[in-house]
Amino acid sequence: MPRNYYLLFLATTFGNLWIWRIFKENLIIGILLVILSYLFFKQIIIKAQYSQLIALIFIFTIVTFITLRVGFDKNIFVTSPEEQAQQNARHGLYAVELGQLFKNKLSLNFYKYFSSSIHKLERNLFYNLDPNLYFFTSHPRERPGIGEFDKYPWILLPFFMAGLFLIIQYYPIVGIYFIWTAFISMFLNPTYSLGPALFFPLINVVIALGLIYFVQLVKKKTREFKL
Amino acid sequence: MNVRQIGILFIILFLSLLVRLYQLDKVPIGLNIDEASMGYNAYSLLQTGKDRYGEAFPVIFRSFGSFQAPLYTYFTVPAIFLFGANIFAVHLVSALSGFIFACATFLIAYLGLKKNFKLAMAVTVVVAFTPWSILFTRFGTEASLGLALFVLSISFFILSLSKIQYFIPGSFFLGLATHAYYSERVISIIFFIGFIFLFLKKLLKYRLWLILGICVFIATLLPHLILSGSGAFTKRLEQVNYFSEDTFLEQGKSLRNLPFGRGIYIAKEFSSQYIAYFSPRNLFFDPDPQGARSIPDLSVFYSWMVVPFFIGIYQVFKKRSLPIIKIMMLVILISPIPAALTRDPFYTIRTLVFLWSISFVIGIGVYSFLIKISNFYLKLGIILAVVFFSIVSFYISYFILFKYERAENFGYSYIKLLEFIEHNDDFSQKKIVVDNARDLGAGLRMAFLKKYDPVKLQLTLQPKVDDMYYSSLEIAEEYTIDNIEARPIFWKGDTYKDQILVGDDLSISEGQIREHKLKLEFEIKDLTGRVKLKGYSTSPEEKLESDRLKKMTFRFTSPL
Repeated sequence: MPRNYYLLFLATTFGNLWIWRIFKENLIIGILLVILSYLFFKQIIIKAQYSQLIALIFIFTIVTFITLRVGFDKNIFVTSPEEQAQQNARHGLYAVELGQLFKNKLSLNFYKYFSSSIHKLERNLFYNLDPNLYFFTSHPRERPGIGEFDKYPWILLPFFMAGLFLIIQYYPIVGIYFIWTAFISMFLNPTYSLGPALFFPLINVVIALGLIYFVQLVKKKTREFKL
Repeated sequence: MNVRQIGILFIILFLSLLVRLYQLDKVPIGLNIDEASMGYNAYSLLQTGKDRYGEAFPVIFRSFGSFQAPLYTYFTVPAIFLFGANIFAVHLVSALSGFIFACATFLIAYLGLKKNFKLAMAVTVVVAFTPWSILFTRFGTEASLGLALFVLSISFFILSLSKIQYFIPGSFFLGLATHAYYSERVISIIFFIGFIFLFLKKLLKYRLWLILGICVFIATLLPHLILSGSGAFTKRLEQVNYFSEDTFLEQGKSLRNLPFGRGIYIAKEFSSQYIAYFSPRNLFFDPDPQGARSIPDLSVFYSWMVVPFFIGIYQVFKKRSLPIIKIMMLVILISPIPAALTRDPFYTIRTLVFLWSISFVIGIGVYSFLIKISNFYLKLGIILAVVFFSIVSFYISYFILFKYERAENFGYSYIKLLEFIEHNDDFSQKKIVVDNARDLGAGLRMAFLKKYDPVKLQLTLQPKVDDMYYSSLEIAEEYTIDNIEARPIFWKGDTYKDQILVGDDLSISEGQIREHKLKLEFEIKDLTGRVKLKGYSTSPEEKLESDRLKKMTFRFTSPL
C-alpha cells in the first residue's frame, strides 16, 4: 500500500473541523476515534486482520460507552408541554375518527406511552443519516434548537460520494459497522456537543477512499497521456 | 404473462385508482390558491373560451403575479364539463395522472427488467402506494400531470430500444411534459439529450427516426419560444432562486470577502440543496416543511423503506449495464436539478420525477430483499406486517391528521363562510368584505364554487392586465362576487359603510373592534373546532358619533 495513501487518510482525518472540536471537548474520545478510523481503514484496504478486528470492536465499545454515558438522550422518555398539547389535540381527532379502534386500552397506552418515544428514536436515527449534517451543517434544513457546527468542508462531498460507491464492494464490514453505529446513534441526544461521533471513522474512511480513487485515476490518465 | 398475473396486476391497478378516488373531494377538503386558479380558469374557458383575465386560450396561465403551466387547466375543462365546477373535478386530473403513471411504471419495469413479473409488481406497488404518490395525486397540481407524461414518455423510450417507431410518441410525450410543470421544462430537455447520448450507437442505426423524433420534440417546445422574451417565461425562477446579489450579500457570510465569493456561494448552495433531496432524513422521516404539500408525521416514503432503499442502490449499482438502469440513473441524477436551483429546502412538489425514480429503486430493493428469504411463511409474515404498518400509518397521518390539521391550507374556513352566507338570509343580501391578507385565493375560490359569471370577472381583471398578459406585471387583484368582496379591509373607509367585515384575529384585533364600534355577528370554525374567522357588522352612525366626540375632546384638551 503506497505511503501517500496513508498520508491522504491522515489528511482527511486531521483536515476537518470536527476532529478538532472533538479534541477540544474530549481528548480521549478524539484519540480513540482516530485509532478507530485507522483500524477501520486498514480493515478495508488490507482486508480482514483478526487481531485488528478485535481491537476495532474493543475501541468501538469503549467509545460507545463513553458517548452514551455523556450524551444519552433523556428526552426520549420525556414529553414536553408542547408535545403534550399536540398529543391531547390529536387524541380528540383519533377518538372521533377511529372510535373503538383507538378507544381501547392497548391503543391508548401505546399512544400515550410509546408513540412519542418511538418517534424521537426515529428522529435521532434519521438526523444522523443526513449527509447535509456532515458537509453543510444541516443546511438547508437546520435543526431547530440545536447548535449546528461545521464538520467536513463541502468540497469533499464528491470524494465522499465516490468513496461510497467504492465501499459498496466491501459491504460486510461496512454494513455491520454502519448498522451498529446507526442503532446506537438513536439513543444519542442531537444536541450532544461532539455530534454523532461514532460516524466519524466511517465518513473519514469513505472520504479517504474517494480521494485515493481520484489520485489513482489521475495517475492512470497521466500515464495514458504520456504513452 | 398468464391469467393469474394479469388478474393480480388488475387488482393492484384498480386499488391504486380506488385509493386516489376515495373521498377525493373530502380529503383535502377544499382548494388551495393554485387549484382555485386552475379550476376557475378551466370553468371560464368552458364558458367563454377565455381565462379570468380575458385572454383567449393562453399558452401559459397568469395567476396572482406568477404563471401556471397550461396543461392541467386545459385537462380540467372536460372534468368540469362532466362533473361540474366543484372540488372533485379539480382534483380528478391529478388522480387520473396518478393512475396513469402507476400503469406506465409497470410497463417500464416489466419490459426493462427482463419481464420479471414479481419484480415489476414490487416496483409498481411501491410507486402506486407510497405517501408522496397518493398525496400529490389527490389534490390539483400540475406536477402530477407532468410526472404522468414524463413516465409515459419513458415507457415509449424503453419500447423504442426494441422498436424504433416508439421513439416518436416518446419524444412527443416528453415535449408535452414541458407544458405540464416547470420542473419538466428542465428535466425533459436534459433527459432527451442524455437518452440520445446513452443509446447513440443504437439510435444512429435508424437515423431517420432519430431525426424525426428530435423534430417532434422541438416542435412541442415551440410554444415556449413565444414566451421566451416575455417576463412570463422566467418569472417563477426569478421569484425563488438564490442567484441574486442581494441574496448573496444577505446569506454569503465569510464568502462575501473572497474573490469569486458569489460563484462559490451559488455552487455551495446548489450542492447543499441538491444533496438534501438524497438525504434519508428528508426522504424517510422529516416531511416537507410546506404544510400544504406534506403529510403530518409522514415524509414522502415510509421509514421502513430506508432498508430497501440501500439494498436497491446496491442492486442498481450491480446491474448498471442494463438499459433501464442507465435510464433510471440518468433520471435520478438530473431530476433534483430544477428544485436545487431554488432556495426552498426539500420542496417535494418540484421533484416528483425524482421521487418516482427513488420509488423505482426502493421497489427493486424490496424484491431483492424478499427473494433472499427462502421460508415462505417468514416472507409472508414480513409482507403482511409491513403492509399493515404502512396502511395504518398512512390512514392516521393522511385521512385524519392531514384532513384536520391542513384543512386551512385548502381554504376550508372560507368555504364554510361561503356556505354560511348562502344559507343565511340575514347575510346573503348584505355587503360583506372578506379580508384576504392571509389567503389571496379566498375570492377566487368563492368565485369558482359559486360558479360566478366569468364575463363579469373578466370585465374587472382584463383592464388591469390589458395587453401585458405575459409580462411580469404585478397587479392588485380584488374579487367582488355578488355581495362579497375579497380584499384587504380599509379601516379609514369600510367602517363608515353598512356592511359585514370578516377576518381572523390578526386582521381584526380587539382594539379595532372597540375603536370602530364593530359588533360580532358570527364565527366560522375550522375543522378542529377552533374559531378561524369572525364576522362583524359595522355601525356607521355610532362610528361617526364617536369620531365627533373625539374631535370635541381634542378641541377641549388641546393647549391652543
